[in-house]
Amino acid sequence: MIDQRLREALSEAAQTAQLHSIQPLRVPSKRHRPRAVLLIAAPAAIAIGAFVLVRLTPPPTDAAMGGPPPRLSAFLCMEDDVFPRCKGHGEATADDRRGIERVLKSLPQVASFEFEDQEEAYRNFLSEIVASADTRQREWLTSVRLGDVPASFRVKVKSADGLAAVTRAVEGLPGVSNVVTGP
Amino acid sequence: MEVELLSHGELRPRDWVDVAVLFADHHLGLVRLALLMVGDLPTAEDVVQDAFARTHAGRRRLRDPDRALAYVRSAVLNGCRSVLRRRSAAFRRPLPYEAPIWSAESTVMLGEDRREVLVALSGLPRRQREAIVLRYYFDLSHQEIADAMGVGDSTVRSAITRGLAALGRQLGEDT
Repeated sequence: MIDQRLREALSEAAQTAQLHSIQPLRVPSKRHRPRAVLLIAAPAAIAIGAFVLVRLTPPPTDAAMGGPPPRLSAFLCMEDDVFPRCKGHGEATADDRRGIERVLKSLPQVASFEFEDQEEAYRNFLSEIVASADTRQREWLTSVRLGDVPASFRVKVKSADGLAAVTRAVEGLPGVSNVVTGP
Repeated sequence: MEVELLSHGELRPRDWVDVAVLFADHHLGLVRLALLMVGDLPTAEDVVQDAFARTHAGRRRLRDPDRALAYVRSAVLNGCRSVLRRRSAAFRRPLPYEAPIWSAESTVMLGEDRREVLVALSGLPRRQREAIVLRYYFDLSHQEIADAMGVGDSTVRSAITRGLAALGRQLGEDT
């Protein structure tokens, strides 16, 4: 009989699937629906966070910027100086020096400045540059004499933004050979 | 059964049916139903898992306990139909699947006569095949078969009659 054969065939085929051999059902993970509360709360939280952050952040200081206050040095012309600005000018005079001082005092970006004469510059040169050089460089550097190191104005600028303005104002003045930013 | 069911704390009106529990209770039977339809066990398990996942997501909508089992069975049958339709679509890339348990390539060893019957059965039109499996393996009543397949009672009767006649012709029997 066909239905008997059917029953046996179906039963035998079905027996190939046993409870221990099939994977257990897995409960589907919950779908995440963005809820209305979250839609409002998330931007609000971000806005509040940003506001607090801005309010709590101290105004940027030199310390906050992670470095020493910005500096620049304006070197003065020496006798027979090689810098093009000093050609035909000779050594910077006391008048030149006063003129530079006047300009520096008038600049709002300048925090403070001091004059470093040639003797002081030479001492600093010996203590800072020659001391940190290795033996071969030292041999060559010791040939530098007192009159070889130029005098300069050491200028502290209030913020790094003011460096360019101060440099522009100073570098064209008579008696200034060149302006270098940095300590 | 190592399936995580609904948490007991979840409040449910008395009349509502927990489809997850129903699936867990009938898991093996449903996998076998799918197996007889699609022919290989991995696909059959996938079909049941997919149907479970879908009904689990919408379980709150199922309120008629008398229809619940039929609902679950038809979910599995629907999954099987989709699988078979995808496999037979000529213009698509053929989907990789294991050889049906009734084919000679299958690792499952069935008797020659069983295999012959199942091959003939797999060649029947879908409605006849479904009705015959539900009738001769699950021993469902005509009404239950009609519910699971989503067709009328008389359609089931005629499908079974015609299917049996076709099988008898193919297998050389006089019914």
